[in-house]
Amino acid sequence: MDVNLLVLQLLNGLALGVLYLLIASGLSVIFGMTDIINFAHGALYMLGAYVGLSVIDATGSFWLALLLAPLSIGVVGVFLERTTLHRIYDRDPLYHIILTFGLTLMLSDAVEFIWGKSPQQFPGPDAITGAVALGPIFYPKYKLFLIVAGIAVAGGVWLLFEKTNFGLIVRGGAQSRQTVRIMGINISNYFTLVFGLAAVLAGVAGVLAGPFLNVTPTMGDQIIITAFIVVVVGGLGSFRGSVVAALLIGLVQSLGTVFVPQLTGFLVYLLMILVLLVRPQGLLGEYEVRSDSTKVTFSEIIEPVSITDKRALGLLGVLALVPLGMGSLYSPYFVGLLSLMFIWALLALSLDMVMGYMGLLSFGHAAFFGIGAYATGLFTMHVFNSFVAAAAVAIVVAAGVAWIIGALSIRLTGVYFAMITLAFAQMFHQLALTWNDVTGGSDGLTGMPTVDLFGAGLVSLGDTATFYYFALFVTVAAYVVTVKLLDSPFGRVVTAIRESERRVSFLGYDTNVYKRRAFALSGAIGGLAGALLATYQTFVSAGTLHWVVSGDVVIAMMFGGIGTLFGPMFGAGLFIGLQEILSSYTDQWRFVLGLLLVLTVMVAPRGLITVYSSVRDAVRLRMGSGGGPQRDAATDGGENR
Amino acid sequence: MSDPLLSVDGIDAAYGQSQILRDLSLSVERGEVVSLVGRNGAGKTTTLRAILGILTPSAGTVTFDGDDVTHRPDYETVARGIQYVPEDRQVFPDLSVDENLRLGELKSKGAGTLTMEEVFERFPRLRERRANKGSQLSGGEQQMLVIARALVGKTDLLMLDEPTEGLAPQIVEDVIEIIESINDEGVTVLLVEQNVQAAMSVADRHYVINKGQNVFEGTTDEIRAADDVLEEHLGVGGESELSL
Repeated sequence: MDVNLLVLQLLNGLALGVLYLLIASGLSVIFGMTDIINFAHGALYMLGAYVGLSVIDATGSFWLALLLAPLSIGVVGVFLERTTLHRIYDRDPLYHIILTFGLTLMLSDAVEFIWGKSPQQFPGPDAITGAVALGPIFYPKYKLFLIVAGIAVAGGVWLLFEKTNFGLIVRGGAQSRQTVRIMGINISNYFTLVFGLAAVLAGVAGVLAGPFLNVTPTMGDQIIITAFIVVVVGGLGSFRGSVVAALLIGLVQSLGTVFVPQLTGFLVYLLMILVLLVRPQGLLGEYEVRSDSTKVTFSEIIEPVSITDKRALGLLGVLALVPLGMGSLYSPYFVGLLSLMFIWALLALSLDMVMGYMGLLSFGHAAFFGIGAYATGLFTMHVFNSFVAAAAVAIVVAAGVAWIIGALSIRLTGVYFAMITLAFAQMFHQLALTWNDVTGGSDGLTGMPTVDLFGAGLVSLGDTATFYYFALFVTVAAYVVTVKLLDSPFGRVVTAIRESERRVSFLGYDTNVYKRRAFALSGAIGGLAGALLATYQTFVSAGTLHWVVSGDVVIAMMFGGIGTLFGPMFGAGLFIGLQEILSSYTDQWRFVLGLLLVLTVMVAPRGLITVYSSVRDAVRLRMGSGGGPQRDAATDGGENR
Repeated sequence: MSDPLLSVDGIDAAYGQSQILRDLSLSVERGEVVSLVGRNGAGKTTTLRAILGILTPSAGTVTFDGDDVTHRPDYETVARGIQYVPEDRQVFPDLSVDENLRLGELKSKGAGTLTMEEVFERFPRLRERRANKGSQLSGGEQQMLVIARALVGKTDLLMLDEPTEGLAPQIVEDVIEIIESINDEGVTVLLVEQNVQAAMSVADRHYVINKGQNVFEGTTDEIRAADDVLEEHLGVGGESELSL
């Protein structure tokens, strides 16, 4: 091994580690104060790089960029916090995370819109160009500067928290908000300041990263996931843990490219898995796993609609008639679009089962969708062209993966679970991109046959109407089974875990077993949705596994009405419809969806279902049928729980 | 005669749908030690929380030092001079004794009742422990710390919620002595106690609260004489806990 190369990679690792440290410490600080994991932190970092770029374009000064860009990101952070999060701090963590997810979508698309998609050059400071001789090797001066500057900023932050009154209040507030208030301090202002400070740090990281890494609209995606891994590895809420883990992961990444190049891109995930197995609270974490951090409370329990309900039967009747008008009233494309809605409805159902019914914040449902799709594609191509057999494989594989992810991470509920599921899903995305021979890499899986239902050549699912009926049948069947399941003793335990995990375990249930099983079941449904998707497209894209897809399902679920099972299925239909319409007008349609998501969380946290019922009540009240008041009484009862 | 320092007039307060306080009134004169006694769940703590504004009363008014503070947020009322020591003490477990006190002092801007130095003179134990974390203190030390933390702030009125709860008898006596000496220096005290005996030994006047309502008001002698009140609202007969 060449010593010079080793030194070089060590320095590169440090440079990366310093960037991770700046991002992860911001995440940690926000979390310590507010118990919120800010998904939008990577987007703020990316925005920092772009704003820095524009400052350099305008003034030609890197130093001015390093000053102005972080300050503007701080202002953006304060603005975002004040207009959104600040108004809903009293809600369950679920809503906070979903809200920052929506902000991420908005920021990403806004940057694409303003600065374009293509990677951009970010000129470094004139004073620090070229390389410096360190013994026999030459090392870029800028990277050395990055290391020193990053450490200086992190050190400054540490001093700020340890030595100033501001830091004292923030540390006190992280321990008990109410007690800080009775010291005469308006703590909620400090939430805003801390959010702004973390945004400034993200901005600093963005500008510092500019000349070192590519500036692209997706640069925030990878770093936020790495930062999540840093936080998980280091231990949530531990500043020292973040420092150690950030530098460790930077080093692992840069040394890994030399020693085990074939594992590049996977080492950090492997490190995370190792830490989860050995020390789930993180290397230096003291964060006790709060068993009730799963808790999601709804002001109103909305029971799933029975399939024998008149309205449900009516809807099914109408849907059953749809293919008859194909060709005359509308094109097959429209029927295909409805089929896609069914597939997404299935996926949303699978997510709602764990998120809405159990309070498990899964932000990696794309994994099951994608795994199901790849399994089906590969099986029909290489083994046997039968949907039934392929879907069985897809379900088993997806459920198995879900069970393993669950086994690794289910002890860590709440925000931990959200970060870990997201990271695992990205790992599979990475795998699909890297494992070219099998998955086709970034080209996707091509050459899939038209799938036959049983494999005997009797029923081809390539026919639009046939697939439509089949997808409708599968979706409805999955809904009926899920409703039954959640109504069973097993389902009651699942729902009770959402209300209070601690009390359920006091009653003698091993809640982890239930959570793992429910998560595996949810993975199975997600895998089934993936199987349908592959069949529908006769193609699988690596994009199916991307975190944005996980976000899309969350959007669908929130639109429809979390925790109702049927609501998210409608939400999925709405999502696909909106995507279809919006994307014909603009490339930045996710901005609109992100905005709608943020508004849903803020204004109608139970989605369209509540809008529907309040409209219905208003109508009934006006018609004087008396249905309204009765319902109100029931609602009040629900709130009294 | 001057206005009372604190006057609570007919407040109602509720947590969500459940009404806790109904038309509750009380007043505290400058320099007094007043106790609120009553059973568990009677609404004593809620009364303190409503005075401070942690919970906003749905009706009635709270007047402090001539100003209506009913709808002011808790942190503003604290800055005006009401310090509150909650029942579960609430030291910051990961902050040192020093840092705990500094947080208490932060908003008083030099108008604190005691300086840090005076606190350490009065509570030498805290000086010894100043570098220790809150979580490393004993229950009695924690109680001293939170009282001291209140006193480094602007303290015209000190509201203490069950300051003797869970402490050893010797420490209970210490705490009572501390309250008396604070009062001697001109700090008005409003005290919530389950320990009726402790309340009577330190307070001049008492309010008995039951089901969120004020059911009796009087001096220590008057309350001692009113056996029926004690029996009905405090669950202590003449011969039981009072004779301890």
